[in-house]
Amino acid sequence: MKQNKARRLTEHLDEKYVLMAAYPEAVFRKHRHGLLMKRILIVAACVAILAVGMVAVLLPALRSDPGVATDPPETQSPLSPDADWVEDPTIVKVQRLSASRGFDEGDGYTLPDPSVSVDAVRAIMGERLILLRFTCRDGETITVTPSADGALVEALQQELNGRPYWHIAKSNESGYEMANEFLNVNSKEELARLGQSVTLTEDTVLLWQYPCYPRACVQDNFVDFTITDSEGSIKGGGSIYIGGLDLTTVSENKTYYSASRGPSNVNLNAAYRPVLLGAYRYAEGTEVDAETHAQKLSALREKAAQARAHLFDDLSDDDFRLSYRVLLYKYGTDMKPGISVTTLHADPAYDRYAVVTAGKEQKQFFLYDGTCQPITEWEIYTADEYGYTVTGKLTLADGTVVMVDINDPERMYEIILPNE
Amino acid sequence: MAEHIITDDDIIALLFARREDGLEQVAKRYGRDCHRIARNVLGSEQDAEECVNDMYMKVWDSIPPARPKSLRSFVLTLTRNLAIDRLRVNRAGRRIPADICIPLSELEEHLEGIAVSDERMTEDLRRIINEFLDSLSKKDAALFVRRYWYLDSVRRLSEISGYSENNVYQRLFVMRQKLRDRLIKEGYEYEV
Repeated sequence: MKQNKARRLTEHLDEKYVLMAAYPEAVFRKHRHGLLMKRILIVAACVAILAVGMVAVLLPALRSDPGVATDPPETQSPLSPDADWVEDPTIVKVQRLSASRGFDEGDGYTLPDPSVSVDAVRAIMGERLILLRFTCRDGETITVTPSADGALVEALQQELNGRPYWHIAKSNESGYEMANEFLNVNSKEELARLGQSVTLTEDTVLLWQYPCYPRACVQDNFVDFTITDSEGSIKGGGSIYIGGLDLTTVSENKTYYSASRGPSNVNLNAAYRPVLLGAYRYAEGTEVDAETHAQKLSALREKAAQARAHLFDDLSDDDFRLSYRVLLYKYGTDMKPGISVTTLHADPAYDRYAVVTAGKEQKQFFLYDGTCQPITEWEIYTADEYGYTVTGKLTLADGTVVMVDINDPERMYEIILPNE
Repeated sequence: MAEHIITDDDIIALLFARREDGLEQVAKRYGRDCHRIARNVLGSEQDAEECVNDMYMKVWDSIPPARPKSLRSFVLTLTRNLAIDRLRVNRAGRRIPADICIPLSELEEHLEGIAVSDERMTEDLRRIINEFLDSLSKKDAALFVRRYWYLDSVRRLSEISGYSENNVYQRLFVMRQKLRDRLIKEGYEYEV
């Protein structure tokens, strides 16, 4: 089939359209958000109508003949394929947290089925912790074995800045308190221990500190875990997806500052999107072979991957504003007079290191550093019309030159350039 | 101490200096995007990888003397063209099904009877297609470009946009029709 004309015609597209379409998620974000709300409203309306209808039908019937026996509740056949499967490997969108608001206990997601052993999931992005709370049944001991393979291990080998931890913790009034550190990976040799199991008794919380800062680690990575009982039988498992906005940068030469961590070669001011987690547990007394287990994990991963597309659906404008925080670094001093572009927000935590935040509605950059320097000069080297990719140089009033490099197809920036 | 972030200009400078780390930077920055578009066209990971490697070679051969204004656009366009060329070769050898590049085929259907092959019309065509995109909403423009430039599947567009697949089909159909109408209005008469 000839496609010459189609090809020829589309070759003439202006590159601004090519660049714009390189980030379609950003273009459609509002639409999807609106669509989600609409669906929720429709479902809510249907449920309400159904409830009213059922009351209208059932109430007279019960009143007229209270002695009529009802059918026993339908039970699931033990022979059905999923009878042994506490089938709710729901992909749970874990609470989003921001550094400024901290961890809000009341706002998290929990798995809907209380029989699922992983009964609470939290992610603390600021501290880079993923909390999996495994509540064992009475008198039960389970073993949780994470499988860290593939891309994750590869990335860890490349980036041994990563320090994944397994912690065992006990819950207390203020949340979770870490107890003995279980694993600390600092070298390739220790990496092999990442798959080590941890045995839990009732009401134990497992904290997994994910090595968020190696960039490769937070994009499309899954970590599976398997739950076994004291006999070694597989009792369940889950898959954690870690991904989303990764604005971290790692550099051997640059030094970044963080309010909580001080100097580092890692920019920890990144805003992370949360972790998705799917988990399940088999019914008591069920024996599951490894192959079936692997299939279940695979299905879980697939769902997590699908859910990834909607990772940004529930973000508000305010969240986007937080997410767009990008740490820049001081380039040098080169005093140049210029015009003041914008009023700046002061944030002493960042010392003199500039942070550019693109507000969704403000249509301008906010720059805030310890001295509240106005930007006096913009020099944009490359930028597409929509500001998804920007490289350039900002000159502050005191002559500080800040280099800007926002250019990564996997990220969801919406940096809006100042009006010329 | 002055630190320096590698910019597109830096990469081009490296390529001008015939330094291979310029290509490494191209790969690091744009490799994934290029692979995706090649895969969209070719439908095969292996072919896509080879295509992207060809693109690196082409970049190496083209810069210098070329000094692209947008390196991203340059490498994406190179990849797309190489992928389509490769698709033709593959098709000739019957290695792949003939309908794998459906987006271009469906656009081609709407261009039946329209003459766009005259080299002298290049600038005019450029104006028309870009004015056409200007006339669309941002979302529709994104859909159009993703479908006919990035050659995404309708399913993928549905996932990205939140529109149903039917809705995506419908929107694309209307846009193709609008494009055809515009071309006719601009005097791109039917071929005899």
